[in-house]
Amino acid sequence: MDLLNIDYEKYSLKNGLNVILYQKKDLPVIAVNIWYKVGSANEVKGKTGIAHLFEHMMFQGSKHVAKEKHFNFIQEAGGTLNASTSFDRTNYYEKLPSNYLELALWLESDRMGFFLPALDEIKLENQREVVSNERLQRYDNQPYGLAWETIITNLFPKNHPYSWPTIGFMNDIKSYTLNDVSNFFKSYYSPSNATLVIAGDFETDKTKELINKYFSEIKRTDIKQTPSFKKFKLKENISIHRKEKVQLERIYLVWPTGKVFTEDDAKIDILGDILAGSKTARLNEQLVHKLEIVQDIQAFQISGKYGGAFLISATVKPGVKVDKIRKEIFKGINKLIADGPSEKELLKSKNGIRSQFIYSLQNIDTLADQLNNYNYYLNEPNSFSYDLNRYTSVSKRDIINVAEKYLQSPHLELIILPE
Amino acid sequence: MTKLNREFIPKPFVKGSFSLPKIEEFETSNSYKIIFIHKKNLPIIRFSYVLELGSRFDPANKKGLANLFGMILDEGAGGLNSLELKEEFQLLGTNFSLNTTKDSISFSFLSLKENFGRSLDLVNLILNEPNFSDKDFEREKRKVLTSHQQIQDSADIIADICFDSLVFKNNNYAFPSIGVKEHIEKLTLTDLKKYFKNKFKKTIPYLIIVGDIERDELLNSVENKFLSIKGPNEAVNKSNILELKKTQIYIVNKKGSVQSEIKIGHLNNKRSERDFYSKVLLNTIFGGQFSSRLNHNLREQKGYTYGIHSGFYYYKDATAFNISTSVSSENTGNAIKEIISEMNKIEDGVTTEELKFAKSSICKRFPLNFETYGQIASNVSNKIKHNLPNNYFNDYLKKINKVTLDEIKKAAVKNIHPNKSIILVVGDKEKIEKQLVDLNFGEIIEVGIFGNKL
Repeated sequence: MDLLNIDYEKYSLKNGLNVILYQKKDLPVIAVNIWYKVGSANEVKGKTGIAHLFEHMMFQGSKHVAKEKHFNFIQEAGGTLNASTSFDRTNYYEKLPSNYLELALWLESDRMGFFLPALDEIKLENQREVVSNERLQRYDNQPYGLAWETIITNLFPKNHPYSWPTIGFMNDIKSYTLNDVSNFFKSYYSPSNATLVIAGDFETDKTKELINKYFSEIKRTDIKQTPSFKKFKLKENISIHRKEKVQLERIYLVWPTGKVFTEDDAKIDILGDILAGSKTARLNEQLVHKLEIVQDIQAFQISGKYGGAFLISATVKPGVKVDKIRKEIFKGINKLIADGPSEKELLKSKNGIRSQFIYSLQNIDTLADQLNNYNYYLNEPNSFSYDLNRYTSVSKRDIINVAEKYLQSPHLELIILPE
Repeated sequence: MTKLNREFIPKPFVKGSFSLPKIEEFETSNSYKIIFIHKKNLPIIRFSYVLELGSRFDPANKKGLANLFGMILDEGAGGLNSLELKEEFQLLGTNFSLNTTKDSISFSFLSLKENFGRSLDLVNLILNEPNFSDKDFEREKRKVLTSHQQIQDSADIIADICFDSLVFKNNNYAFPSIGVKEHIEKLTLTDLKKYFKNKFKKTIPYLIIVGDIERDELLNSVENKFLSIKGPNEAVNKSNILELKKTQIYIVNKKGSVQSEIKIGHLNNKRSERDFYSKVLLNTIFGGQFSSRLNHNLREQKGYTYGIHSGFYYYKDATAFNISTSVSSENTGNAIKEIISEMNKIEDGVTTEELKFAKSSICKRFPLNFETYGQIASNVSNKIKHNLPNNYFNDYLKKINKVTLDEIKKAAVKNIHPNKSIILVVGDKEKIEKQLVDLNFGEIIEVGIFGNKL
C-alpha cells in the first residue's frame, strides 16, 4: 500500500547521533522525537526505576535551561510534549508549530549535552517525591494495580531484565542519589545511543544545518554494556494468590513468549485477538456473552528486545468459582488448537489491523514515534508495510502452531481475591 | 570549530500558514442538520450521529435508563444478532462506538473511505431495526449492575461521581450516567422500547462527517439512509441549583487507600461568550496545563503530587469549576492548604508575563487542535452543544488576544471561590481525618460514594 511507504532520509553525525527526517506538509506542525536506547532493562536490582526517574530529571533543566523552563518554552510556543520509559527505551517528544523547530533542537541538545552541570539535590529530592506519588497513583492505589508487578517478578527468572517493573520498587525510588543519576546519564545518554526523528513541515537543508549546529559538538561517551539474559522456559506451573481491596476476583494466566519482531511475534498477537481481543472473540463469546461467568476478559501479548509474555485476564462475576473460569479458558484454547480459527476470524483480525495502520497516520507525532520504533527494532524506519504484512500473512496453521507451542507449556497463574 | 553560544534562545522562523478546515452546514429535507468537513489527506471518514438526549433526562425513578439503552441499542439489529452485528463492523475494519453522557447519546465510527457506505448501512440498521431481545437486555443489565459494584474500587471514579452529586445537588446533572442501582434493577425491556419510540426516534439528531468524500455523494448517501427521523427536540427542564454559603469538607472513607483523591470546586455560570475567553486564559494560568501555578507549587516545588489540574467543566446547561489531584495520605492536609491559598492568590489577578504566556500558548497551539479527524469532529460537536456562533473558530484567536489583565482579575473574583467550595477527599479516614480537622473549615461530613449522607 502506497500510503504506508514512508519516504524518509537517515544519516548520522560524527558523534554517532542517528537522524531520521520525514517531510509531511499538510499542517504547519513539526514533531521532534528522540529515542535513547535505554530502559528499565538496563537497571540493576536495588536501583530499579532509575531509567524512569531519570526521564523525569531530564525535565528539571540543563546548563542553559532553568528548572521548569523546558515545559515553559514549549508550551509558550503552543507545543505539546512528554516522555515515556519502557523496558527497552526512553523517548522524549514534542509537537510544535513548525516555525519553532529550532527551539526544540536547542532544548533537546542542551539536555543531551549539558545535563550534568544543572543537576542538584533539591531537584532530585523533588522528583523522588513526584515519582513516589506517580507510583502510588498509577499502581498502588489502583484496583488490581500491582498485578503486573507481581506477574513479571514471578514469571521472569531472577535477574532477567524484565523481572522488575519500569516504575521501580518504592524502596528503590526513595534511595536514588545524585551519583546514581549522574552515572546513569554518563552510561547511557551519549548521542551515539540516541536517534532523533523530525517529522512534519520543515525545509531539509536548513534543518540539517540546525541539527548540526546544536548536536554536533556534543561528545560521545562509552555506552555501558547491554544487559545479558538467557532464553528461559518455566519448568512447572506457578500459582500465586493475593488478597486486595477489590470487589471481584480476577484471574491472570501468563505464558512466556519470544522477542518482538521475531518469527512467532505477530502470530501470537493475532492469537490473542482471536481468543479475547474483542467482544466477538471466542472467549468473550463463551464466557462473557453466553455463560456470563466473567465481567470482562482480555488476551494480548507484550514483547520487547529481551523477551515477551502472553496474558489472559478475566474478572470473575460475583458468585462464580474461579475454577470454572480457568476450565473454560483452557477448553477454549484446546478447541482452537483442535479446529484452528475460521477464515472469518482471521479476516476480522487482519482487516482490523489494516485499518488501524491507516488510522494511525493521522497524528504526526505518532508517526514520528513509529519511525523511531521501527528503526530501533528493525534498523529500518520505513517498515510500515513490512509490519502490516507480518500480520496479513498469518495462516490458520500458524495460529494452531503458536497456540500449541506456547499455551501448552507451563504458565503462571495469579489470582487476586477480595480481602 | 567554535563553540556554540547556547545562552541565546532561538527565535521562531516565519510562521507557516494555517487555514481552518471549511465547515459546511446543511439542513436536510427531514430537518436534521449535517455538518460536513471535507478532509482528504487520508482515505478515511469519521462519522458522528449525536442526539441531545443524555442521562440527565432520565426520569426521577429511572436513573440509568439512557445508559442501559445505549448499551442495548447496538446488541443486534435488522436480523443480525448482537455478535453478528459487531462482527460486520470488524470485517469492515470500522471502529464503531456508542457513547452515552449526561448531555448526549452519540454513535460514531471511523472507517476507510471504501467501507463508508456499508458502515452507514449498519448504523442505519441500528437506528431503525434494533433487536431489543430479552436475552440481550437481561445480560447487559446484569453487566451494568456489576460495573456499578466495581465503582467502589476506584478512588478517581468515586471522586468524579461524588463531586457532581455534591455540586449539582438535586439537579439532574447530579446523577452519574450509569444510574442508581435500585433503579437499574427495576428497569424493564418495555421501558427501553418506550424510550426508543418516544424519545430516541423523536429527537432531531445532528450529523458530523469529516473525511474524504465529495459533498454531493455524502448528501445522497445520508439523505437516503436516514429518512425516518422527525419531531421537535424536547424542552429541557432547568432546575436551579443553590450556591454554597461556605466551604465544606466532605470525606468518602476508602479504607486501605495509600493516597487521597482530592477535588475542590463549586458551581459556575453557564457557558457564555461574554466571559468565556477570560476564563480560558485564567484557567490556563491557574491549573489548566503543566506550566501553571498549581502544578508549579504542588508538584515542582512541594512534590506533593504527580500532577494537578483545574478546569471549568461545561455541561450544556450547567457548569462546575474544580481542581483535582491525588496526593499521599500524609500530605492530604498540606495539599489542600496550598490549593486554597492558590485560589485566594489568583483573586489578586495575574501578571503581564503570565497573561502573555497564556495567550501565546493558546494561540500558537490552535492549528494543532485540527490535526485528526476525531479532533475536528469533537470541536464541531462542542460548537453545536453550546450553540456557538458560526464564526466561533474564525474569531477565537482575536477574542483571546483582546482579553485584558483587568478582565482576568474580574474573572478570577467572579469564578473562583475559595470560601464557598466543596472540598471532597476520597481516602482512608483514619489516616487523614486529623489533618482535615486541623484545616479549620468546621465539621467534616462523611458521605457515601454517590455523595449520599451517611
